[in-house]
Amino acid sequence: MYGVEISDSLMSVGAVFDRPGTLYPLLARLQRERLVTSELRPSSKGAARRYYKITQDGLISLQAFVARWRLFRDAIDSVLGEETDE
Amino acid sequence: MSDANSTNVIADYLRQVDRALDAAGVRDRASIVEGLREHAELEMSADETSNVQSLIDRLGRPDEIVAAAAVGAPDGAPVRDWWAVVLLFLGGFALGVGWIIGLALVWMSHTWSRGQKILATVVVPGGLSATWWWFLATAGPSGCTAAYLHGTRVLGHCTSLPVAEPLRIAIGVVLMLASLLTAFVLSRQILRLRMP
Repeated sequence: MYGVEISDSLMSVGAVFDRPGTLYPLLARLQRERLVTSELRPSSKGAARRYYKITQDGLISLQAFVARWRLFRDAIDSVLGEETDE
Repeated sequence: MSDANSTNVIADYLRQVDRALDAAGVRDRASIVEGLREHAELEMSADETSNVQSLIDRLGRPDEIVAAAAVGAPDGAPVRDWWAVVLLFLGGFALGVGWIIGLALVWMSHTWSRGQKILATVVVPGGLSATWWWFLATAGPSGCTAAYLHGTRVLGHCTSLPVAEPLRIAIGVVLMLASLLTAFVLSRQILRLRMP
């Protein structure tokens, strides 16, 4: 996916991205950490576009994050559920 | 707004972002500015009636872009990563245990890529101590009857490998340089990640 596509996708699911431009510092850091690679490809519709792709290390990091997030989410839901019951 | 005017407005915005990122010491600024340029050009070409000032406002002010670059940036080099490099380089002298611990720390860390971790594993097992062991193993009989480490006798007798002296030295130097290279590659990665 290229930058505008990623930005539009995040906006469409209501992710916290009120400024599409703030995506690019994140993409730059992910590339530096080798969690994402990018490639400039010519486009028939105008200027060349940079396409981003997750790496194997990125997938591993993502899996670890998802596992941690689920633990965190379940813990918070549990606490909130207990408070509601009270 | 004319195309030329729109181009100038975008160029001016990107210069402001670049200056702000430079002032903040952000190393990825070229990549960030290029991403913003591409984003702006694509959006303008997709909708030529779009107001360029609205587009820039949506993208974000320079200070907002700088703030996003600072998010998640580590405060400083984790001590554990530096210990991993030191142990990998010198830990082999501690009966090899230090090198093993260093290698474990490297593999547990998120700092290095898989390729860098494989490099740390195979180049060179034992780190700098491999050079010492090589010279010891290929020393002449007179140099191999006893070996001492920190004043403690650790070897009473050994059989040296028959290696011509120039080759012995060359291999020793290669082992040493290889260990240094690995330490350099790992250290550089720590520094790269710790600077925003």
